[in-house]
This record gives sequence, structure tokens and C-alpha cells, in this order.
Amino acid sequence: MNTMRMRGLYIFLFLSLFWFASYEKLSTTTTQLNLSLCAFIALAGVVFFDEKFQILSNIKNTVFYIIFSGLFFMTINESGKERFFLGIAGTLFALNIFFESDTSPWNGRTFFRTPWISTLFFANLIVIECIPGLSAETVMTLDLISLLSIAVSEIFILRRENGSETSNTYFSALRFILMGFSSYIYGHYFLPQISSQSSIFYLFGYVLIGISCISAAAAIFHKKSEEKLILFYIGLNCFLLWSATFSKKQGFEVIIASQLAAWALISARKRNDQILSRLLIFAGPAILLSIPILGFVYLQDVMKLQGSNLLWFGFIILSWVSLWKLPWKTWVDKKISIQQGVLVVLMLVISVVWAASINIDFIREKF
Amino acid sequence: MFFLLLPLVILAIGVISLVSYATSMEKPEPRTIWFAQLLTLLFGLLAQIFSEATNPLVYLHGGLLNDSLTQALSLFIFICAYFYVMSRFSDRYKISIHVTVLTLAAVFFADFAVQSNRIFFTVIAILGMILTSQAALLNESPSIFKTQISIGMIRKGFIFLILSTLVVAFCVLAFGETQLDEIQIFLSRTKDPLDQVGLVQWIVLIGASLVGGFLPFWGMFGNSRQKSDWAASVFFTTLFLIVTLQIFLKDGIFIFTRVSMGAKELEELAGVHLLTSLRIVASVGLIVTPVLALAAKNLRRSLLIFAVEPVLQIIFALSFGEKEIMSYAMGALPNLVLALGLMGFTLKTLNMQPNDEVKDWMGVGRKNSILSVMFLSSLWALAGYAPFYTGRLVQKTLCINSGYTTVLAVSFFLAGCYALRLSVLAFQKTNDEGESSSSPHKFESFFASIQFAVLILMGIFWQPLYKYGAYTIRHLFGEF
Repeated sequence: MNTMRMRGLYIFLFLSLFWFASYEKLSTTTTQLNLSLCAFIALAGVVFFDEKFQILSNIKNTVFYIIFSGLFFMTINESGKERFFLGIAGTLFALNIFFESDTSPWNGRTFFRTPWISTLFFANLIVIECIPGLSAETVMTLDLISLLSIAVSEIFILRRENGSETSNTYFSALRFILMGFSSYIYGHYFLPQISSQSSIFYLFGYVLIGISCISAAAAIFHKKSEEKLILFYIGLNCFLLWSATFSKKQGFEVIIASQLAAWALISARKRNDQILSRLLIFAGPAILLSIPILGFVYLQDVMKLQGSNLLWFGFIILSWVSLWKLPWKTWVDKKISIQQGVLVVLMLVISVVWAASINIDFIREKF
Repeated sequence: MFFLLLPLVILAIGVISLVSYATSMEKPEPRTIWFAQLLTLLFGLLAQIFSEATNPLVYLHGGLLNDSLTQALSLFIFICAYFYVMSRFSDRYKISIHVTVLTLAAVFFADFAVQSNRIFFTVIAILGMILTSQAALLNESPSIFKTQISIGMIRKGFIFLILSTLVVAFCVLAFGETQLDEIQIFLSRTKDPLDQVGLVQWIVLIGASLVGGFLPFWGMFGNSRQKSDWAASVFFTTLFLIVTLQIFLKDGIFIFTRVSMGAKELEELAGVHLLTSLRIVASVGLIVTPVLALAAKNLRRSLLIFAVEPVLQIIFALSFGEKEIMSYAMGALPNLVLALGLMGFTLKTLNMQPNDEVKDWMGVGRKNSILSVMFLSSLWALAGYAPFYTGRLVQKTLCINSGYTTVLAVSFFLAGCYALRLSVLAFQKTNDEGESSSSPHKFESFFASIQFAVLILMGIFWQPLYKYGAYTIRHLFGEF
């Protein structure tokens, strides 16, 4: 069967499952429908860019992918905070079982080298929620730390995955999607009173954006291209978290950036730089385009937060420079098909238009 | 009175019969010995079940006490001994007469320590327990370590004797008595706080920590439980943990506190800060225990350190003196016995060696997934995670509005890290196939499966005991 037809069929099946299996769970609110569609695009993107047919050619991987999708979809439609974090813990649990069974062994010492640590964080969060002695901002900071743990562990896991010959390479993409969406949902649903939070909470946000800036700056000066990429990745993750924390109304850029990066990451899991380049070919333009376009809208919210503006600008400039400094020419891989190229551009356009349409009222008001 | 003594009498008869059998026969039959041990424990267990207190006055005569708490602790001692004997079903053709007799004697002393109404008797019984359990473990250790272990055993027994002599002497000096109910009545009626009370309670707390193996103490075993058989090592640890709980509860909490009117909470008697002291001891233990378990390279050492974790959770919960939390804490005790019993059996069957390090645990789950899952479940149960019963206890304790609960939350996370490490490593890919696990006997597998099922079902369905009218503060005190 033609590869593209096979993929198309798969996505059609998935779409059917997506809408019918969780019909009762679907919320009718516009935001949650938008979220569900975003999730669908992100998950479908992973199949589209699955270069080596890891998902389709192996029944174990296919089953896992469907389980993950179902759990993920249910998680983002949860309304309660505890249930939401329980959903993330469960989804990560499923992901980790498959990841650990196939990748290079963990040494048992450095806990961030296993994705299980993030699952443990989330499982603990549910318990910590019931401590009456803890203040609201402490709990929220713990929530953020848990989300950050996925980002931090991802950096170490990336190395572990690269070290394995047999490992499936789409796990990172799925983790990235989960993290991006979780940050967004957390920022938008659970922090309605963000502007009235205490200074501890803001301090944590500054730390995050500070890490983003440092990582982006380090990426500029680092010699090894793979290390550059990882450093940039840290910066991006922290930036996503920070965005979700501080943005109240416009947060879709978080999802868009994360899903584009996730699509790209699917083929960026091997040692050689040629494959790594795809991350930047796909994610680079997306980030470069989405940040300035949506950033303007986003900035309006951020401007209210005194002191963080400089950091925000700092990250934008540094990330651009770090992307500029990457050895693009040596990484260009001519094996990328035209179909894929067209799809990337299409997704990019859809994402930007979509994000713009969400913020259309705001844009009209300003222009 | 006779019914109260019956379980102890049965154990004593069992020990005497086995010794007589061993001395009269030239070659004692191991299988007969094993069955005799099993029967003694079975009859003892049944006698303990049916010796429920009907008229409380009867049960305070003499040196023994049988309220609901004592009854529960005694039952758990018998149950954990029963688990141990059942887990050695496949060893029944090679079991030693010395180990059997010493094990029964240790159970006898443990039961006596729990049931005793006098601190003096408890101390003597614990000393007997230390000697018999050390000797039993020694018998199962390689001969090269025996001299070293024997010296350690004498030294530790001596330290405990000094401490316990101090407790007894202070009790006699301060209260003129070592009988628990008399001391409590004396304290309740004294208007002026006594100077010695604080000292007595701290000696009791340190002594209990020493017996239970709370850090920085390594228990009353030293190297003996490090080198012996897995199941024996875990069994004697459990036995000592139950006795430790008894010391904390009866010799500690219930002497120095009383039920406050109306509130159904425990309040400290004049001049005593026992509950706060207890909370501090438990808090330190809760942090140090998982950290040291994570730091230990030797698998057995780390597991035996970690086994203390649920007891610390129970003591931490008890230290708030709140009725509902106390009933949850007592409910966690059978969970501890079940989890540790299952752990001893699975590790023995998985052929883990005494000197195995944590890295040797890698890939064990791929060789025998069922046993590994059983072991890991019991580990998560010890760590206090849902769906196991201790998960409920942790959740309930965290709901108390106190800054101390943060310690429990941190400990909960660290304990999770420890359980997580062994869980992940168990299913890692390894190049070295290594020694495969021995297949357990059909009977052993059946018994372990039941234990496993009860462990899970208990967490899901078992309601706290106070809902059935047991383990309320009134019951814990008995009908004084």
C-alpha cells in the first residue's frame, strides 16, 4: 500500500476513534473544542512525520499510540484540577512503560535520566493538593515545578534515547506535546487570579525565563552542534512554561510552538546531525514566525508585568541569534520529500492563521 | 486468665516438644519439625483469635493485659510468623531444628513483650527476643561471620540491658511501680509535674528506636540479618517492628496521655511533651530513612532500612493523637505485615543473594515478572502509595492542618523515588542473563497469591477499623 494512503487511512481511523470513543467526555465549550482540535493536529503530525514508520509498522507501537492518544485526549478535557494532574500522571505512566522497555538502560542513579520522575511528581501533586497547611501559591509553584520536571528530564532522556540503537524515536515528540498542552491548560484554567499572586510565584516565573535566556545564550557560544540544540531545547521548554504561567488570554502560541516542535522532533532522535537538522528545519521557522506574530499580541499581557519585559525581549533576541548561529548549511538534508515540505508549510500557515483568528478581536482593536 | 495465657502456653509447649523430640531422636526429621512448627503457630493463632477480652477486669490481673490493641498486635505477630513458615515450605526437607526452636522462642518472647502489663517484663521479653532471633539468624549465616556476629550480638544485648535497666529504675523511682495501668493512674492523679517523667519518656523513645532499628540505629541485629536467609531476615525485622510499635504505643503514648473530654483526642499529661517529641523523632526518621535507603548500595541493607518507613508513617500519624487518624494508623499495621511477608518470600524465590547490590536487581523483572510485580507492589505499599492501604493513611495524615505534614509529603516523595528506582531497574534490558529465579512450590505460589490479593483488596475495600467499633481510643485504652 502506498505510504501516504496508509497514513491517511490511519489518521482517518484515529479521527473516528477520537470523536466517537470519547464522545461523552467532549466538552462543548469553544475553548475545549479548539484544544481538542489542536491536540488532534499535534498527534496527527507525529504520524505524518514518522520517517521510519515506527508507529505503523509495529503493532505494539500502534497500540501504544492509540492508548496514548486516548489518555491524552481525556486528560485535556478534564475539568477538575486533581483529575487533570491524575490524567497527566496516567498518560506519562503509559508513555514511560513503553519508553523504558525499549531504550538504553538507566543507571539507577541520576533520576532525571528516567521519565518516571515526572510521573512521580504528578502523582505526588495529587496528594499534596490535600495539604491544608500549604498556601495556594506554594501549591501552584509545586505544580509548575512538576511541569518543569518533564522539560528538564527531557534533556537527559534525549541523550539516553540517542545512545540506544533500538529505541523508538517518537516518544520525545509525544512527551513534548503533553508538556506543551499541560502548561497551557494549567496556565489558562488553574490560574485565573494570576495577577493577584504573591511575589514567590512571580519569582519562579522570572527564574524560568532567566533559564531560557541563559540557555539560549549558551547555545550561541557552544561548540558542539548537538549540545547547542539541547541548550536551545531547554530554553524553549522554559519559555513555554513561562508563557503558560503568565499569559491569561492569549496562550495558543504555546500550543502552536509545542506542536510544531513536536512534529519536527519526531525525526530528530539519532546521533547524526543530518537528522537532527530536521528539528530546526521544521521547528525553527515555526518559532521564528510564531513568536513575533503572536508575540505582539502576547506582549500586551506581558507588558503589565513589570520587570519581565526585558527578560522576554532578551529571550527573543538570544533565541534568534542562537538559531542563526547554528550550522544550517551543513545540516540541510536533501532527502526531505516535497510532500513533507508542503505539509510543513501548510501546518505553519494553518497554525499562524488559527492563532491570529483566535486573537482576531484583539488584533482588530490594535490595528 | 487461662484463656489469656493460652497462646503463650501453646508456643511454650511447642518449643518444649520440639526440643524433647530433637534430643530424643538421633536424626530429627526436618519435615516433621516443619509441620510441628506450623501446627504450633496455627494453634497459637487460633487461641489468640478466640481469647477476645470479655470481662476487662480479668485481663488486668497479674502481669498480662489483653485489650483490643494487644490482641491486634499479638495477632499480627502470629500472622507474620505464619507467613514466614509458609514461605519456607520448599525448605521443609532441610530446615534446622535449632532455627525452628529459636524462631518459635522469638515469637513467644515477642508475644509476651506485647501482652505484658509491666515494663520490667517487657524488657526481659525483648532481651530474650534479641538473643533468640540473633541466634536463629546466626544459624543461617555463613560460618565465617559467626564469631563476628556473636560478639555484636552480646554487645547489642548489653547496650539494651543498660537502657532498659535505666527505664525500670526510673519508673520505680518516679512511680514506685513498672505496671502500666498503675503508672498511668499515678500520672493522672498527680497535680505537680514530675522532673523524672521527661527523662523516662526520652529513654523509652530511644530504647524503642534502638529496638526497631530506626536510624541512626541499625536495629538489634547488626550483621546477622545482613548475611542470613532473605525470608528470615525480613521476618525478624517485622517482628521487631511490631514490638517497637507496642513500646511506642503502650509504654509511650498511652501512659503519658489521656483522652480529653468531648474532643475524643489524646492530650498530654502535666509536664509531658510526649506527642511533640514523638513527632520530632518520626519527622527526622521520615526524612533520613528514604535518603539512606537511596544511598545504600547493598540491596538488602537498603530494603531493611526502607522497611522502617511505614512504621514511621504510623508513628507520625499517631503522634497527632486524633481519633480518626489513629484508627487509620492501626489499620496500616496488617498492611505492613502483609507487604513485608510477601517481600521476604519473593526475594527468597527470586534467588537474590545477601551481598547483591542494587545494580544486580537490574532486569530481574524480565526473568520472573509475576514475582517481581508482587515484590514491587509490596514495596509501593510500604512507601505509602495508593491503591494500598498505607496510601490512605498518608492522605489522611496530610489532611491535618499542621506544618509538620510537609515532612511527610517530602518523605512520601523520597520513598516514591526509592520504589521507583527498583521498579524501573527491574524491567531494564540487560546483556547478562544471570541466574534465573527458582520456581516456587505450587503451594507457596498459591499462598503468596492470596497474600498479594489481600494486600491489594485491603487497600481498595478495607474501611478503617473504627467504623466497626474497634480501635477507638476507648478500646485502645481498654476498660480501665
